[in-house]
Amino acid sequence: MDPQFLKYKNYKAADFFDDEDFVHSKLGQIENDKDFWKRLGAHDRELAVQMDIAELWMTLIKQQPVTNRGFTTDQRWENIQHAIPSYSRKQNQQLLIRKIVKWTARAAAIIIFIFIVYDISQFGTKSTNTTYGERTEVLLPDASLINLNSNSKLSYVRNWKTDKPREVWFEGEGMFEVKHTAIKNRLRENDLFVVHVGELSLTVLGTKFNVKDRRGRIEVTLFEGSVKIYGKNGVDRLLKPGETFIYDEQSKANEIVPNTNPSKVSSWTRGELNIEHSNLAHIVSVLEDNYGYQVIVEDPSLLNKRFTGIIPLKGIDDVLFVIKHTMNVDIVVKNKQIIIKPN
Amino acid sequence: MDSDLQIWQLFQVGHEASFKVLFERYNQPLYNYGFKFTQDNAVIEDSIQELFVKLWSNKENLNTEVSVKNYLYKSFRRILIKNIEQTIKRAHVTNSAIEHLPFTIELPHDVSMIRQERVLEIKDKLDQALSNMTPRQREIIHLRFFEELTYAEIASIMGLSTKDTYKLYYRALDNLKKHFGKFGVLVLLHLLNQVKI
Repeated sequence: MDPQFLKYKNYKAADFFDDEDFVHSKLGQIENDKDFWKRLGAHDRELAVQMDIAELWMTLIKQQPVTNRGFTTDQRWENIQHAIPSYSRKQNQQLLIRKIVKWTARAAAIIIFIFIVYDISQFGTKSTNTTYGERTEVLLPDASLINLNSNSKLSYVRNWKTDKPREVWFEGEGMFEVKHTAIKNRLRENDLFVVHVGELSLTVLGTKFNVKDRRGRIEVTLFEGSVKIYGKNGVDRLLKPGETFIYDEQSKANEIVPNTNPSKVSSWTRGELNIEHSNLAHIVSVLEDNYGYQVIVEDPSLLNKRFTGIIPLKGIDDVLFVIKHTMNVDIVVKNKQIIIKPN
Repeated sequence: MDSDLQIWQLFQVGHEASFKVLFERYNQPLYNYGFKFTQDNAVIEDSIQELFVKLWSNKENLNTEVSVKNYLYKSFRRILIKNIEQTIKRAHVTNSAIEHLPFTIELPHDVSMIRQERVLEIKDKLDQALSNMTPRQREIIHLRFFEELTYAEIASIMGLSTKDTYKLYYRALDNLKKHFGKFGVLVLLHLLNQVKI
């Protein structure tokens, strides 16, 4: 007996139907030993019957009637020949549309991105800083012009609401020329311009004034128009042209004094240092506040020495030159330190 | 006669006559296969047309080394099922899952060549067993014994893993075993003497 016969002991038709070797042999898919199945059948009659059934199944399935109720091959071929050009055209159109859609989408994305970036940039505050020795002009959205002296900072909310007062926050020294927006006989809230400086709020319509906030002392000098000054601790003063308001942040004291020399207050905007009736202490504060130097005066009595004249403010050299030659002192500049000592 | 692959490669470089040969070889078998899914003549015709129009239009992008028959059946089946599902959706029938798509195996009516009454009995039982199978099980059996494809090819055409194809097939065989389990040996012996295929 062929030892391979053992494998097929107890095989039923379904098992043969499932047997790769048997099926392949009957389908003629591989060259198989057809004789093997004959010998197996002769060896075991029962297996022969099962094999016959399996083969009959295969035959029955293979002999399914072939259905072709549709077109003839020639008709189909004809139809396809007609359909191909229009399909290609449609495909090209779709390709074109897809391309257009793609590029439109890209363009839209870029535009939206720009809008978003622009929008975000409108949020929050916009600030302008000046460093030591630097001066700059800021033109606000309402056409108000602000001249910033050195070491100063101006910030404001970008999206000024049309129904709210214009507001800016300020540190340092600056000359404000606020645009008058009110129409005659009709004052609205948005015609007001508010400068927040230290503990004070300066409320103005259209006017020109200088604000100086240095060393815990706020000085507001009015040139034109009027300014209303409010403070946390009940400060409520109206300033007239030619007056200077002085506020001490430490003592909370305030006073209004007449300003005898307006051009001295505004001299910095012209790039000059007006030292008319000033003492050395005043010049030292300018050097420290506007140029960031540390000034050491070895003999304190020098501080009260008075000057007269106007110094061009290109840098500190001119100032030091004037001090040196009018006071007969020795000046040493080392890094950011200026030492003034008696000669 | 040139092999499918030779014709396929000629067709791919734009040889129209080869495309026609390919079409002539396969359009009727594909119709026959399609008819097992649906009796909707228009859907089958549309699917055949769609298949060959797409083949020609995309010939440059097709794989050059393919089992041609396998590829055609697979593509045709995908297009056909898509089109059948579209008609089902149009008719507002909700259940359009592929497993429920019918598949008919129609055994030959004319068994005169087999002559035997006992053969008719086997045929009836096979018919019963087949009708107890799921459509996809019938499809496997059809592809295996009518189209004479291998399991790997069947799996590829039906979009199944070879393992899942086997599993489906084994469960189909259980059905066959159930229907033929009670065959008496004597009957079988009797049969054996007379069946000549």
